[in-house]
Amino acid sequence: MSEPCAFDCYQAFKRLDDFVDRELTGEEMEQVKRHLELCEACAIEFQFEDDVLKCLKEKLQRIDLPPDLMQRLSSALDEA
Amino acid sequence: MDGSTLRREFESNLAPVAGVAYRVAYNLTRDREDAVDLVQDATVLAFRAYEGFRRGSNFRAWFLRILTNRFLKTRSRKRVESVSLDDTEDVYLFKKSREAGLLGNSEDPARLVLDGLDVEAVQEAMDRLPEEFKMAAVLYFLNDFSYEQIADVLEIPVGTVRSRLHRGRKILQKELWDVAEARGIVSRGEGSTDV
Repeated sequence: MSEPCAFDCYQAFKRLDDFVDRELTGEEMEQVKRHLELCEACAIEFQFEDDVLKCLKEKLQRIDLPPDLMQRLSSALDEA
Repeated sequence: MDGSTLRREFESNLAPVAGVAYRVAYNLTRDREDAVDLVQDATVLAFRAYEGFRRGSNFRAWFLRILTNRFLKTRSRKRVESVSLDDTEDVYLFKKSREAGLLGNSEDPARLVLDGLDVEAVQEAMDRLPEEFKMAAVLYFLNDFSYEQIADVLEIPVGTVRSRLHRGRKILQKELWDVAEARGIVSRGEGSTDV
């Protein structure tokens, strides 16, 4: 089977959000990846967006939990 | 199944989900005690409905649906005024970072801007999102959910989730840059698009 054609910059950019969220079809993912191999400017931009999302996820997942959370949930069930 | 077996099974499903539920609740309520109250309420409601939970389906998504519905029912209407949805550029942080000359200075320019922002600053930026955008964003950032799973939790179409996440992301990037400027992480006026 032949490889899918690469998208151009416009076609790739339209799919940026879905690409970084892995929400494209397999074929579209490949077409974007092929474009990024050929276009350094887009590759830098896509990498930046991916890094921003990863960084925000890391930060928000770092919120401290109350140490007695499960205990408090069990108590709420006891009282219900 | 007797009551105590049901309770044990419910708690064993709840334990791995409680942390993420609390973080979702904290991002929605922005108050530690209110967040615990919200998770407690969701826990009681979920346990009452647990006999109807389809075994083998996604407990986390089911529980978060109960939690977000509970939040929508009980939330205070007092909110920070959210930003306009119009006129926010795509890839705002990237453009601003490039204009500020940050792209060539680091292997990871995104972190150069964002590492200076603590969790509170990121949450402040999230608070500026319209509520329905923020709910999708909170579920996105705190879970490894697909758009379809977020749609399932919020009981809205997948296309709506996609649109809220994509537009919310643009707004969030602008807010983050503004916070970074306000905190002196990037110089005020650096990256200005004014001509």
